[in-house]
Amino acid sequence: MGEARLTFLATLRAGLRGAAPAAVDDAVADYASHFEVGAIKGRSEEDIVAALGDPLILADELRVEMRIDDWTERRSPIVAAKLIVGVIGLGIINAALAFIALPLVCLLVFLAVASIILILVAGVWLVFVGTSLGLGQAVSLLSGAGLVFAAVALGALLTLLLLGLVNSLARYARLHYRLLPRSGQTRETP
Amino acid sequence: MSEPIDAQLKKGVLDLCVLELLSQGDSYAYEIASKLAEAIGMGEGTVYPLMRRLSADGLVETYMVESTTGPSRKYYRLTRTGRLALDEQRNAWRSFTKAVDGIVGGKRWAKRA
Repeated sequence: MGEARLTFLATLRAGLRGAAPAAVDDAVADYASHFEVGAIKGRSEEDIVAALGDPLILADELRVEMRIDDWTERRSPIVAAKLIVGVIGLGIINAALAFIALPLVCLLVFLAVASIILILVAGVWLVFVGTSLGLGQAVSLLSGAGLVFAAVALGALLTLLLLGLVNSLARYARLHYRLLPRSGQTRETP
Repeated sequence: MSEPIDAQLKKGVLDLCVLELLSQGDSYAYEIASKLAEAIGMGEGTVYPLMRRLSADGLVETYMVESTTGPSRKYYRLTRTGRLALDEQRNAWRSFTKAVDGIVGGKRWAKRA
Protein backbone atom coordinates (compact mmCIF):
# COMPACT_ATOMS: atom_id res chain seq x y z
CA MET A 1 0.00 0.00 0.00
CA GLY A 2 1.53 3.29 -1.08
CA GLU A 3 2.08 6.59 0.64
CA ALA A 4 -0.62 8.43 -1.34
CA ARG A 5 -3.33 5.99 -0.35
CA LEU A 6 -2.32 5.92 3.30
CA THR A 7 -2.23 9.72 3.50
CA PHE A 8 -5.64 10.04 1.85
CA LEU A 9 -7.29 7.48 4.13
CA ALA A 10 -5.64 8.90 7.27
CA THR A 11 -6.72 12.45 6.37
CA LEU A 12 -10.26 11.25 5.70
CA ARG A 13 -10.38 9.43 9.04
CA ALA A 14 -9.03 12.49 10.85
CA GLY A 15 -11.68 14.63 9.14
CA LEU A 16 -14.41 12.26 10.36
CA ARG A 17 -13.26 12.36 13.97
CA GLY A 18 -16.20 12.66 16.33
CA ALA A 19 -18.65 10.73 14.15
CA ALA A 20 -19.94 7.27 15.13
CA PRO A 21 -16.98 4.82 14.90
CA ALA A 22 -18.94 2.25 12.87
CA ALA A 23 -19.98 4.88 10.31
CA VAL A 24 -16.39 6.16 10.09
CA ASP A 25 -15.07 2.63 9.48
CA ASP A 26 -17.73 2.14 6.81
CA ALA A 27 -16.78 5.33 5.00
CA VAL A 28 -13.04 4.65 5.17
CA ALA A 29 -13.62 1.09 3.91
CA ASP A 30 -15.56 2.51 0.93
CA TYR A 31 -12.61 4.68 -0.10
CA ALA A 32 -10.11 1.90 0.61
CA SER A 33 -12.00 -0.34 -1.80
CA HIS A 34 -11.97 2.48 -4.35
CA PHE A 35 -8.17 2.27 -4.27
CA GLU A 36 -8.30 -1.54 -4.52
CA VAL A 37 -10.49 -1.45 -7.62
CA GLY A 38 -8.42 1.34 -9.12
CA ALA A 39 -5.25 -0.68 -8.61
CA ILE A 40 -6.85 -3.65 -10.38
CA LYS A 41 -7.74 -1.34 -13.28
CA GLY A 42 -4.09 -0.34 -13.45
CA ARG A 43 -4.34 3.22 -12.16
CA SER A 44 -1.65 4.78 -10.01
CA GLU A 45 -2.50 5.80 -6.45
CA GLU A 46 -1.56 9.40 -7.23
CA ASP A 47 -4.04 9.47 -10.10
CA ILE A 48 -6.79 8.01 -7.91
CA VAL A 49 -6.08 10.52 -5.14
CA ALA A 50 -6.31 13.37 -7.64
CA ALA A 51 -9.58 12.01 -9.06
CA LEU A 52 -11.18 11.53 -5.63
CA GLY A 53 -10.82 15.14 -4.50
CA ASP A 54 -9.94 16.75 -1.17
CA PRO A 55 -10.45 14.17 1.63
CA LEU A 56 -11.24 16.87 4.20
CA ILE A 57 -14.08 18.28 2.09
CA LEU A 58 -15.37 14.75 1.49
CA ALA A 59 -15.23 14.18 5.26
CA ASP A 60 -17.28 17.34 5.86
CA GLU A 61 -19.97 16.15 3.44
CA LEU A 62 -20.01 12.63 4.86
CA ARG A 63 -20.32 14.04 8.36
CA VAL A 64 -23.29 16.18 7.46
CA GLU A 65 -24.93 13.11 5.86
CA MET A 66 -24.28 11.14 9.05
CA ARG A 67 -25.74 13.92 11.16
CA ILE A 68 -28.84 14.13 8.99
CA ASP A 69 -29.22 10.38 9.58
CA ASP A 70 -28.87 10.93 13.32
CA TRP A 71 -31.42 13.72 13.14
CA THR A 72 -34.01 11.59 11.35
CA GLU A 73 -33.49 8.89 13.96
CA ARG A 74 -33.32 10.97 17.10
CA ARG A 75 -34.66 14.50 17.38
CA SER A 76 -32.64 15.78 20.31
CA PRO A 77 -31.28 19.30 20.85
CA ILE A 78 -27.70 17.98 20.88
CA VAL A 79 -28.11 16.20 17.55
CA ALA A 80 -29.70 19.36 16.14
CA ALA A 81 -26.81 21.51 17.38
CA LYS A 82 -24.26 19.14 15.81
CA LEU A 83 -26.17 19.21 12.53
CA ILE A 84 -26.26 23.02 12.51
CA VAL A 85 -22.52 23.25 13.22
CA GLY A 86 -21.85 20.67 10.49
CA VAL A 87 -23.91 22.51 7.89
CA ILE A 88 -22.16 25.79 8.70
CA GLY A 89 -18.84 23.91 8.38
CA LEU A 90 -19.78 22.99 4.81
CA GLY A 91 -19.41 26.65 3.93
CA ILE A 92 -22.54 26.66 1.77
CA ILE A 93 -24.18 29.25 3.96
CA ASN A 94 -22.83 32.72 3.57
CA ALA A 95 -20.52 33.17 6.59
CA ALA A 96 -21.71 36.69 7.36
CA LEU A 97 -25.32 35.54 7.25
CA ALA A 98 -24.55 32.61 9.55
CA PHE A 99 -22.82 34.87 12.06
CA ILE A 100 -25.72 37.30 12.14
CA ALA A 101 -28.60 34.85 11.84
CA LEU A 102 -27.40 32.22 14.30
CA PRO A 103 -27.03 34.50 17.36
CA LEU A 104 -30.29 36.20 16.40
CA VAL A 105 -32.16 32.88 16.26
CA CYS A 106 -30.52 31.85 19.56
CA LEU A 107 -31.60 35.13 21.17
CA LEU A 108 -35.17 34.77 19.92
CA VAL A 109 -35.35 31.18 21.14
CA PHE A 110 -33.92 32.25 24.50
CA LEU A 111 -36.48 35.06 24.83
CA ALA A 112 -39.30 32.70 23.83
CA VAL A 113 -38.19 30.08 26.37
CA ALA A 114 -37.79 32.74 29.06
CA SER A 115 -41.27 34.14 28.48
CA ILE A 116 -42.79 30.66 28.46
CA ILE A 117 -41.14 29.93 31.81
CA LEU A 118 -42.35 33.29 33.11
CA ILE A 119 -45.95 32.52 32.09
CA LEU A 120 -45.63 29.07 33.67
CA VAL A 121 -44.30 30.48 36.94
CA ALA A 122 -46.98 33.17 36.99
CA GLY A 123 -49.64 30.51 36.48
CA VAL A 124 -48.39 28.32 39.33
CA TRP A 125 -48.00 31.40 41.52
CA LEU A 126 -51.60 32.45 40.84
CA VAL A 127 -52.92 29.01 41.75
CA PHE A 128 -51.24 29.09 45.13
CA VAL A 129 -51.34 32.72 46.22
CA GLY A 130 -54.15 34.08 44.06
CA THR A 131 -56.58 34.07 47.00
CA SER A 132 -54.30 36.28 49.09
CA LEU A 133 -54.46 38.87 46.31
CA GLY A 134 -58.15 39.20 46.96
CA LEU A 135 -59.18 36.95 44.08
CA GLY A 136 -61.74 34.26 44.63
CA GLN A 137 -60.65 30.64 44.98
CA ALA A 138 -62.14 29.61 41.63
CA VAL A 139 -60.83 32.67 39.80
CA SER A 140 -57.25 32.21 40.96
CA LEU A 141 -57.34 28.49 40.30
CA LEU A 142 -58.79 28.80 36.81
CA SER A 143 -56.69 31.75 35.66
CA GLY A 144 -53.56 30.10 37.10
CA ALA A 145 -54.31 26.84 35.31
CA GLY A 146 -55.08 28.81 32.18
CA LEU A 147 -51.66 30.39 32.23
CA VAL A 148 -49.98 27.02 32.83
CA PHE A 149 -51.77 25.48 29.85
CA ALA A 150 -50.95 28.50 27.73
CA ALA A 151 -47.27 28.03 28.58
CA VAL A 152 -47.45 24.35 27.63
CA ALA A 153 -49.14 25.20 24.32
CA LEU A 154 -46.56 27.89 23.52
CA GLY A 155 -43.78 25.45 24.38
CA ALA A 156 -45.24 22.88 21.98
CA LEU A 157 -45.53 25.51 19.23
CA LEU A 158 -41.94 26.60 19.76
CA THR A 159 -40.74 22.99 19.58
CA LEU A 160 -42.63 22.46 16.31
CA LEU A 161 -41.15 25.65 14.91
CA LEU A 162 -37.60 24.63 15.82
CA LEU A 163 -38.10 21.12 14.38
CA GLY A 164 -39.24 22.68 11.13
CA LEU A 165 -36.29 25.05 11.12
CA VAL A 166 -33.72 22.26 11.55
CA ASN A 167 -35.50 20.10 8.95
CA SER A 168 -35.37 22.85 6.38
CA LEU A 169 -31.70 23.44 7.18
CA ALA A 170 -31.01 19.76 6.46
CA ARG A 171 -32.94 19.98 3.18
CA TYR A 172 -31.04 23.12 2.23
CA ALA A 173 -27.70 21.43 2.96
CA ARG A 174 -28.58 18.53 0.68
CA LEU A 175 -29.82 20.79 -2.05
CA HIS A 176 -26.51 22.59 -2.06
CA TYR A 177 -24.47 19.46 -2.06
CA ARG A 178 -21.15 20.33 -3.56
CA LEU A 179 -19.82 18.80 -6.69
CA LEU A 180 -16.21 18.21 -5.91
CA PRO A 181 -13.97 18.55 -8.95
CA ARG A 182 -10.74 16.67 -9.36
CA SER A 183 -8.19 18.24 -7.06
CA GLY A 184 -5.82 20.42 -9.02
CA GLN A 185 -8.69 21.97 -10.92
CA THR A 186 -9.97 25.25 -9.60
CA ARG A 187 -12.26 24.56 -6.73
CA GLU A 188 -15.69 26.04 -6.81
CA THR A 189 -15.95 28.81 -4.27
CA PRO A 190 -18.93 28.32 -2.00
CA MET B 1 -22.06 32.39 -3.94
CA SER B 2 -20.29 32.79 -7.26
CA GLU B 3 -20.26 29.22 -8.44
CA PRO B 4 -19.59 28.33 -12.08
CA ILE B 5 -22.94 27.74 -13.76
CA ASP B 6 -21.98 24.28 -15.06
CA ALA B 7 -21.22 23.15 -11.48
CA GLN B 8 -24.67 24.32 -10.43
CA LEU B 9 -26.30 22.50 -13.32
CA LYS B 10 -24.43 19.27 -12.61
CA LYS B 11 -25.29 19.29 -8.94
CA GLY B 12 -28.96 19.29 -9.74
CA VAL B 13 -28.78 16.18 -11.89
CA LEU B 14 -26.35 13.99 -9.92
CA ASP B 15 -29.13 12.03 -8.24
CA LEU B 16 -30.93 11.54 -11.53
CA CYS B 17 -27.74 10.31 -13.24
CA VAL B 18 -26.97 7.79 -10.50
CA LEU B 19 -30.54 6.47 -10.47
CA GLU B 20 -30.55 6.25 -14.27
CA LEU B 21 -27.24 4.32 -14.29
CA LEU B 22 -28.54 1.91 -11.67
CA SER B 23 -31.75 1.36 -13.63
CA GLN B 24 -29.58 -0.04 -16.43
CA GLY B 25 -28.12 -2.58 -14.02
CA ASP B 26 -26.75 -2.98 -10.51
CA SER B 27 -23.34 -1.47 -10.04
CA TYR B 28 -20.64 -0.67 -7.50
CA ALA B 29 -19.51 2.77 -6.46
CA TYR B 30 -16.22 2.75 -8.35
CA GLU B 31 -18.00 2.08 -11.61
CA ILE B 32 -20.66 4.72 -10.99
CA ALA B 33 -17.95 7.22 -10.04
CA SER B 34 -15.90 6.54 -13.18
CA LYS B 35 -18.90 6.94 -15.44
CA LEU B 36 -19.97 10.20 -13.81
CA ALA B 37 -16.40 11.52 -13.73
CA GLU B 38 -16.10 10.84 -17.44
CA ALA B 39 -19.55 12.07 -18.42
CA ILE B 40 -19.94 15.23 -16.35
CA GLY B 41 -16.54 15.73 -14.71
CA MET B 42 -17.64 14.95 -11.17
CA GLY B 43 -14.91 14.30 -8.60
CA GLU B 44 -14.93 10.54 -8.02
CA GLY B 45 -14.94 10.93 -4.24
CA THR B 46 -18.34 12.65 -4.29
CA VAL B 47 -20.05 9.38 -5.17
CA TYR B 48 -19.70 8.03 -1.63
CA PRO B 49 -21.55 10.79 0.25
CA LEU B 50 -24.07 10.65 -2.59
CA MET B 51 -24.63 6.87 -2.32
CA ARG B 52 -24.85 7.19 1.45
CA ARG B 53 -27.62 9.71 1.09
CA LEU B 54 -29.55 7.77 -1.57
CA SER B 55 -29.30 4.75 0.67
CA ALA B 56 -30.47 6.68 3.75
CA ASP B 57 -33.45 7.91 1.72
CA GLY B 58 -34.27 4.31 0.77
CA LEU B 59 -33.78 4.85 -2.97
CA VAL B 60 -30.99 2.28 -3.24
CA GLU B 61 -29.93 -0.77 -1.25
CA THR B 62 -26.62 -2.65 -1.06
CA TYR B 63 -25.49 -6.25 -1.24
CA MET B 64 -22.03 -7.80 -1.27
CA VAL B 65 -20.68 -9.76 -4.21
CA GLU B 66 -17.57 -11.94 -4.02
CA SER B 67 -15.01 -10.89 -6.60
CA THR B 68 -12.53 -13.19 -8.30
CA THR B 69 -9.99 -10.40 -8.71
CA GLY B 70 -10.02 -8.87 -5.25
CA PRO B 71 -12.05 -8.24 -2.09
CA SER B 72 -15.84 -8.55 -2.25
CA ARG B 73 -17.61 -5.53 -3.70
CA LYS B 74 -20.55 -3.57 -2.40
CA TYR B 75 -23.19 -3.46 -5.12
CA TYR B 76 -26.05 -0.99 -5.27
CA ARG B 77 -29.48 -1.66 -6.69
CA LEU B 78 -32.58 0.48 -7.07
CA THR B 79 -35.42 -0.10 -4.65
CA ARG B 80 -39.07 0.31 -5.59
CA THR B 81 -38.98 3.80 -4.10
CA GLY B 82 -35.85 4.44 -6.14
CA ARG B 83 -37.62 3.50 -9.37
CA LEU B 84 -40.53 5.78 -8.58
CA ALA B 85 -38.11 8.60 -7.77
CA LEU B 86 -36.30 7.99 -11.05
CA ASP B 87 -39.53 8.19 -13.08
CA GLU B 88 -40.47 11.38 -11.34
CA GLN B 89 -37.05 13.01 -11.75
CA ARG B 90 -36.74 11.89 -15.36
CA ASN B 91 -40.09 13.46 -16.24
CA ALA B 92 -39.15 16.64 -14.42
CA TRP B 93 -35.82 16.72 -16.27
CA ARG B 94 -37.45 16.22 -19.68
CA SER B 95 -40.06 18.89 -19.27
CA PHE B 96 -37.45 21.24 -17.83
CA THR B 97 -34.95 20.79 -20.68
CA LYS B 98 -37.77 21.13 -23.19
CA ALA B 99 -38.83 24.40 -21.63
CA VAL B 100 -35.27 25.73 -21.48
CA ASP B 101 -34.58 24.64 -25.07
CA GLY B 102 -37.66 26.53 -26.11
CA ILE B 103 -36.12 29.69 -24.70
CA VAL B 104 -32.45 29.12 -25.50
CA GLY B 105 -32.93 27.89 -29.08
CA GLY B 106 -36.31 29.51 -29.70
CA LYS B 107 -36.80 31.18 -33.09
CA ARG B 108 -39.89 33.10 -32.01
CA TRP B 109 -37.75 35.43 -29.97
CA ALA B 110 -35.02 35.80 -32.57
CA LYS B 111 -37.56 36.93 -35.18
CA ARG B 112 -38.76 39.79 -33.08
CA ALA B 113 -35.27 41.14 -32.43
